[in-house]
Amino acid sequence: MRHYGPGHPVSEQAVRRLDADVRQALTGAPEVRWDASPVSLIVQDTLLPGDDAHVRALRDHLGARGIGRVRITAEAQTGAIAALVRLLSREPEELLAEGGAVDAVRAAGAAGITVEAPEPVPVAPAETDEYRSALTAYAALFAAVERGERPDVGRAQLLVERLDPPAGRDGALWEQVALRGHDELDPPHAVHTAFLAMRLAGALGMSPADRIETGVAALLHDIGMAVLPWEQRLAERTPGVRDPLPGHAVGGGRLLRHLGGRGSLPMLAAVEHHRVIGGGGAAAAPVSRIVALADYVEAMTCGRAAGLRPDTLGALMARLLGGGAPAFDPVHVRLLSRLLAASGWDGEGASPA
Amino acid sequence: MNSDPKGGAQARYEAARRAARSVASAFRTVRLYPLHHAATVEALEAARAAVDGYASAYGSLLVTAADHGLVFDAAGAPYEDDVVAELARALRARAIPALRFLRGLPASELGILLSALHLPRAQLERSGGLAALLASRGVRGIVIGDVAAPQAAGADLLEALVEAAGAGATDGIAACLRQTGGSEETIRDLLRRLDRRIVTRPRAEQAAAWRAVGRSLTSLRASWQAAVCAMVVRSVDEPWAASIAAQWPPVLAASLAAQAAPSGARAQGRRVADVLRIFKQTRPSVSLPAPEAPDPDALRRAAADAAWDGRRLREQAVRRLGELLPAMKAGELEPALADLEAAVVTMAQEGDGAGLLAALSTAARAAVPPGDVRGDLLRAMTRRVLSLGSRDLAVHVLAGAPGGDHLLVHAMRLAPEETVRLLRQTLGHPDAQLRGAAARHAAALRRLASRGGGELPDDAASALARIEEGSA
Repeated sequence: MRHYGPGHPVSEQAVRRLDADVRQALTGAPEVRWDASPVSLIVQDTLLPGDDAHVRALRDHLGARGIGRVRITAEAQTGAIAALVRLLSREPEELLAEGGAVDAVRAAGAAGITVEAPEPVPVAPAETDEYRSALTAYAALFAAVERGERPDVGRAQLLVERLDPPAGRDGALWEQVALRGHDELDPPHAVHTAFLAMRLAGALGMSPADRIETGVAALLHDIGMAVLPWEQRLAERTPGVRDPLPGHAVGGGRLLRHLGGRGSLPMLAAVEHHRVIGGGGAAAAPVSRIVALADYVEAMTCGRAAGLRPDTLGALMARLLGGGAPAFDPVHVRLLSRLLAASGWDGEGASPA
Repeated sequence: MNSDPKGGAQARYEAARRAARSVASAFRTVRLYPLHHAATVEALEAARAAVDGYASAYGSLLVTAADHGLVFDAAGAPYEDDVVAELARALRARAIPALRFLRGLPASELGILLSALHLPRAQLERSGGLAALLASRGVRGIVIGDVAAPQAAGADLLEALVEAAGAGATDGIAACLRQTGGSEETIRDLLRRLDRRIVTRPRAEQAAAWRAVGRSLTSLRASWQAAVCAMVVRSVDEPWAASIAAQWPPVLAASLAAQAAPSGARAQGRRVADVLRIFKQTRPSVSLPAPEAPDPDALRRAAADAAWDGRRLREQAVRRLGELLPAMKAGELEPALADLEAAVVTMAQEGDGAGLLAALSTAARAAVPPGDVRGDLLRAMTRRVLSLGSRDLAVHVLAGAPGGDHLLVHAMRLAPEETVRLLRQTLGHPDAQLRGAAARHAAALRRLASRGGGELPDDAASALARIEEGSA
């Protein structure tokens, strides 16, 4: 059609052949469906090989015209298929002038044929320098523990202090924390847990020094993962843990061993956070209860893809506020829920996968 | 894909492990007994036989000290157990990266090496280093290596892969993955390492890198690409695999899942196929609830509850230490108990009876198997807590009904003399209630001792008899 134009016998023949192939396919399926993306072309749920020149050409052709999916049902007459081919033969700019391929097909009245645009890719807000430096510093601290060093609690404190800006100037951090596209084993989990725990500690009226100590304990709560083999780390992510004292809690407690008053907070949070999540919060130190709630909310709503996230924030908070398990301190849950709502978090968060 | 180690490799690993363990066991024996002692001679001979067994079948044995444990022949994951850990620590402490044991190594040379490894590092350095020391004593069957830490398979490809992924060069990525030889385990490890390297980069860069990796695979030009796609789908529970699959359109991921994932494969507790079906779906949004503020009284109570003082936190930390002790090996237990002792001294100075009770419970209740060397350390600690804290402990430790699992019974098992001393002191206390409690506990312990059956040690009865003498 592009080479010969509409009405030329070669074009007519090509349309007739396509029409016949579509009719043939429709004898065994309710619709003919093409799914196109920059990396693939799938016809009737079958991925076509990328080294086929025709496949690549059609994939790129559809992509350039903003088409992600084409569906053809038995309702489509030969004329409708010819109209589709005519539209597809146009240049992208021409289609754009008609409002895009989706609208152009609709306007052509090609009954039985629908065209859909590709799925939009969400754009996440860019990280601030302080946030990125916190992630990098935590990753370095974790890597040092993996190499056999003791956790550098002083360095953790420096990191946490940067995550505690004055009230009203924490918007950029809330924006980052609202993004859920990381895994529980990634550095953002530790950084976000520290931030949420500090905000909760602040809402409880704790002094700045106590807030920072709580933040350090929260940042290091999963540091015991660093001494576990990879497979065990995967298994000890929050949704899969039933043991109140899993391996990373034991590992964290051993790494952070400290028996002298407030210096013991990181050790306590590391050892006790799953005890609280498992329902044994009454015997746990207050810092462990705060860290466990922040950890649970963070872990249960994050994941590199939406389908891997165990829960959404709105549903999770509604459940916790309604007294659902795990039974955290109701005052803590209420305060955190208010903080999250006041931050402008929409309950879902952008999800750049 | 070559995913399973061959039987031959497993047998070789097992032989290496056996040999290294025998050497480590002899190393421990050399610490306890002189070289000419029968136990040492026997241990050295066993080690020599195990090393020679390996060397005859596979050639010389290279043992490398890793961060945790030992690596055999610069390949595979480090191996560690209680016995091997001691040798690995000694090698690390003396900065000896590797030992190569040659075929025909005599037991005498092994003895010289293991004795030398017990020398302080400074002394070794004064002798010109371990290699010079062994050479001066005529050791020919052991070579002190200077090898770098063993690299994981595919580690040499990591930099190229990081660079190609960062530049979005799909052909470069495919070339790196192809160079692994198609081993599933190597590719998995390489992608895990790539993830670790880029996880702190800006999100947009990470997404671009994973998009490039995803694209490099889905052209499906070669069968190994299809196999890697299948592996990614099966591994979607892992962060790196989720990031690759997230770059694929859902219908592509579902198509790959249908071809690749066994129906039983699971991710985050759900079937892989189900996870992939909803992989990129955002769930129905539930708006975030914004409840009323807690009433001021509840908030005050919560704030007060959150304000534990240093003494209470110390007591809690001591209790939690008790849960960690059974997981500690002797080398770690010693400093942990030193920390506990320091805390006990402070508690005794402050008259912190609740803290002392926690410390006694931590030391006396820590369960270690009979005959375990850690038992001696815990026994000594129990004695120490009872001696240092006897003045403030009584009122706490005598609370509760006497019985088989009472803390006093545990204390009696480990430190009968000190437990009896505490009871005798309390029987002379001015508080009649406390005296009564002490008498009841003493009677219960006597009954337990007279029953026999090993619930209390043999010397418990004679120690308890001294309570009578004290009260008479």
